[in-house]
Amino acid sequence: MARRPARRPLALLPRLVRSLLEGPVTRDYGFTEHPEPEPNYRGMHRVDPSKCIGCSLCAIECPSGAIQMVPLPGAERGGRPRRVPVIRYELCMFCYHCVDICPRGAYVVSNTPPPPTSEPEALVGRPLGEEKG
Amino acid sequence: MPVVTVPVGPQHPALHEPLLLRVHLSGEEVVGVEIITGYNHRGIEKLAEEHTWLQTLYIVTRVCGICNMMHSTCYTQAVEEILGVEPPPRALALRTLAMELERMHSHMLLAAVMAENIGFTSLFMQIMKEREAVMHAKEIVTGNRVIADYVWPGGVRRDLTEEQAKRVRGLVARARKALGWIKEVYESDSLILERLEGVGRISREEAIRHGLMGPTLRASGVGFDVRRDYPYAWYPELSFEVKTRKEGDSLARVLLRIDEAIESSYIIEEILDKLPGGPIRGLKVPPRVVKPGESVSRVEAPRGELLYHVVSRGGRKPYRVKIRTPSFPNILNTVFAYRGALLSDVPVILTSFDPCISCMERLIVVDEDTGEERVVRVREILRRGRRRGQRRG
Repeated sequence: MARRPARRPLALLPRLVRSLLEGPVTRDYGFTEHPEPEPNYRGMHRVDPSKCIGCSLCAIECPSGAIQMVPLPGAERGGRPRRVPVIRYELCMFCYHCVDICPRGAYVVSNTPPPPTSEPEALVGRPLGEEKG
Repeated sequence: MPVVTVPVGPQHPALHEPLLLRVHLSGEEVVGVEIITGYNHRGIEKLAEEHTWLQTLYIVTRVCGICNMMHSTCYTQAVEEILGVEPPPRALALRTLAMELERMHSHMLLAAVMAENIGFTSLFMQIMKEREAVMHAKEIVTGNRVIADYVWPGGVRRDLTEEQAKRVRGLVARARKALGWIKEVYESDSLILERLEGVGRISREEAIRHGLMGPTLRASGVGFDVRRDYPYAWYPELSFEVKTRKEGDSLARVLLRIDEAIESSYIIEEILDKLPGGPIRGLKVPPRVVKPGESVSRVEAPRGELLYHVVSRGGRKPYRVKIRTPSFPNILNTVFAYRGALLSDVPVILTSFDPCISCMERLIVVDEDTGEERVVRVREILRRGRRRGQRRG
């Protein structure tokens, strides 16, 4: 069988030495500067209330039910309060279905990654400290 | 000699899926394996019946993180067939591009996981580092590294600019160069060859008889690939080679996947060379109501043939979405491949089929005379072994 060249016990060694000189590839997320995501990365998005016509299509279609129609204070349309969609990011899975389906293109998109939690207090201190004793 | 049963699994914190293997051992030799599944049942098919056509698209995308593009494309193809919609050529080409990127990073992941499972962690790290290039290319094309959410009934959701195409080309070329040396390491490193060569051999006849799929089948010398034999998306326009290997052992399965990933990189370049112009959506918005009908759709996922059977009785929700994934036959029908192997080869053989399992945690010792079972910790067995060694020494 002409399957392979001769056995080499340390075929990876040159690459490992080079990696040693180049330093670590991974970074401490949140403590050092991290690379910016791609411009078209699906990050945090919101509604521009001036463009929204309140059709509720995004709230009806949202696969994870993360969009709620909320009355806009002080704004009325046809005698009824104007409603705009508000995204609950803790439920959102960033599929951008709402962005692509909006008939008026009212969503403002960004490439900002969503925060790891909606409750920052949960990350402060030692959440398991008491449990461990 | 008493038959010792070792449960391998079902918990694994890092990798794909929980699965339990009850390995029956006579000494160090495997005499039988029982495979127990069902730890990860999420009721996806039932969920699909209770959600709208479009919500179901996002549910089936999340059947598997690694093959999400394959699942969404397969479901979308079935829905398009019921609707009688033909996506424009540019949309088909972009879908194929995203699917091939996914195949590349899935095969690179398997090569990395295999290295980790045989204790070669530095190779694991190196492959994961190089895999980032493919993940980055996928982020450029679809907007996310893993979950693409890229297809819609009637087309795709994002277009690819010239500048983006150029960057994808550069990243894929980098990954191909890396795959070249990964293959070289797998072919020549004596540690890897000791662990993989000749382990878990499956003959061509056995592979066909047990209905294996994908790279597991092709590594045993059967040249079946849905991309070539039942072409879909933009594959009829492309010229590519279906790789096969004759050896049928664990090493052949890993090397075949590396070869396929290299072939995928050439497919991606061909798509970018020939990328047709025109619209990316055949429908202005995806339809909310689907007429009655049914269809079967299949794609070649990184692990083998993926099949969707979608039934519509009209209305806003699917009547039935049946999913047949390739891992199921590949895991359940390969019990015979473990026989005669050593206990330490079991994780290697299982990994070569491309699922994932948990680390070994404990043993159950079965007394052959009384049938009594008791659970023994691995640490205890190691301690006993050491004590015996000391006595002898």
